[in-house]
Amino acid sequence: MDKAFWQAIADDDYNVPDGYDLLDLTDELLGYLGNKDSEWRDVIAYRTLFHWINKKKVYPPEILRGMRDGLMNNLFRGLSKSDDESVLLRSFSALVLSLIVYYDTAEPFLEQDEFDEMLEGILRYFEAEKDMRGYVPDLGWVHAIAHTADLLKFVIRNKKSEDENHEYILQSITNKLMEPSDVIFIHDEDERLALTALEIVRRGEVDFEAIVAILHQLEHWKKHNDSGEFQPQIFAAHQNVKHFLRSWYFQLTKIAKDDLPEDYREGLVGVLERTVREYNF
Amino acid sequence: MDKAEWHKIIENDYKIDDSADLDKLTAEVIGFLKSPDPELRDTIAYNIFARWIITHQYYSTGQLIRLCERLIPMLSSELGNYDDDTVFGRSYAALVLSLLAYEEDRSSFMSDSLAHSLLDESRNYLIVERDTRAFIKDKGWANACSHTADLLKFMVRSPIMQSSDARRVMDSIAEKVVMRTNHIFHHDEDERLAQVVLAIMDLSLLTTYELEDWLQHFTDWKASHTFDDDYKPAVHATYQNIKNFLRSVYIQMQLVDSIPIDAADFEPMLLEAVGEFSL
Repeated sequence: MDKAFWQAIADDDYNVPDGYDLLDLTDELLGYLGNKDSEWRDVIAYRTLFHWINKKKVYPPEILRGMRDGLMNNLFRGLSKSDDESVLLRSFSALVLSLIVYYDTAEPFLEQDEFDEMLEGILRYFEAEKDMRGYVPDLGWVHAIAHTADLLKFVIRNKKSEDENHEYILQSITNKLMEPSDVIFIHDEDERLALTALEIVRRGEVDFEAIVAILHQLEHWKKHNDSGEFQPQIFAAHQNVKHFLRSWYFQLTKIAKDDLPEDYREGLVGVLERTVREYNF
Repeated sequence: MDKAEWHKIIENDYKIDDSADLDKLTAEVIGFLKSPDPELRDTIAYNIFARWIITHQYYSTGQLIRLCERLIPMLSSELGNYDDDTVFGRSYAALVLSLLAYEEDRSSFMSDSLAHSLLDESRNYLIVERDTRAFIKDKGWANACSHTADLLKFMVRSPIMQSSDARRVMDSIAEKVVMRTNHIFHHDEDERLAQVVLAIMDLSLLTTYELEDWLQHFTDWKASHTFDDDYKPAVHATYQNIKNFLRSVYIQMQLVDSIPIDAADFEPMLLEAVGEFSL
């Protein structure tokens, strides 16, 4: 189909057009997720799938299950390549997976073991993803880290996600931040990772001590890497940790003021302030 | 002198014999400030000046003044150029002037007119420098914005500072932060500019009202730009710079032992502004 066909669907409030096979159209959309043209990938594929999955709820569970399997496989495609474009399919597959997880939160259909397996795969992907670029002229939004952060946030909001996972997710986030990187996050990745971390403490199931231990790791990492010589990739990681900590700090002092128990929140802000101080210029 | 001879001085704790011609050596080190070679410019020249001006106090008042008079014109030498080697002379003049401003805080060697002129030239340099590069592969640090911030941080402690000067420096910093640019502060420029703001707050020259008024530079910018799906790199860069700068000011305020009452009353307003630049 051409762009005009999909534009007509958008103009028709994303109603599935008569006379077309929904599954054929869906396969076509999924095929655009790795497209270099952000109009195909973002404006057409992502937005249409968002409306069909979450707004119109046109898919029965078995179709969503198959979609999930394909998208999970996509997360690992081209990971070993250091090319420019393979990240697009991974990143936009993560984005569409968050639609499915969101759907399951409202209309549960995934079995517990399916959910657990999916989370395990997402974290394995998150660890393996090395392309941290946000916006790239010519390609448009890449944003693998932000999309995965959002996906993990929707996972945490889902009742099937269990508390022992959450400590592990927080650890995955901080591990990612400490990775030597060519990219300093400037496209709100720090804020979106922090929103995921905020979701973890909102669920209130992670031991305070576990959070303190992870913050200690960040402090230790800083001290360990404070050498005189300027190393751009370590410096980038340092900035990423710093911006994440500040975003989390501001979220906890402002946004989350009313939806966390006051003594828990104050305790957390207190320990976080110490780590922020460690990362202060 | 060649590098080996300078390294001998460095190994000797940066000390020179009484018989050495300090003015002649100083003229040579000033020349190194323009060099694209980081060893000459940074390892040798910057470190030599740090020791000779501050640690060893080799210079008389007259010599310190002449040093300022030599360095101030360097700030505007080929100012307006960008992405070429002329930035080094300007930026490292600012860096050495920051050492002199630090020394001024201790020994008050500047006349009022010299201090005023240095303050004005520093503000001008902060705004007009177009070369935003921080660390350059093979050539080391350029970092003009950070060096100028350091210079201002020490200059604002000068006894010449009046409320009107404090307002002018604050406005120059805001102008720098909201400037249309493709360059995002990645090398702690935001933190170092925030340090100037903290130094000014420490003087208690500005009222809460004036500080609140100053915030409008940032909230006005936000109000006059739209943020939709259409990604505009320059708008985004300025947004990030404002966001990181305001956060740096707020965080630094949390981390100092005490802040004057006017600044303390200003803090919740600042937090509101930080909120405007958050997801």
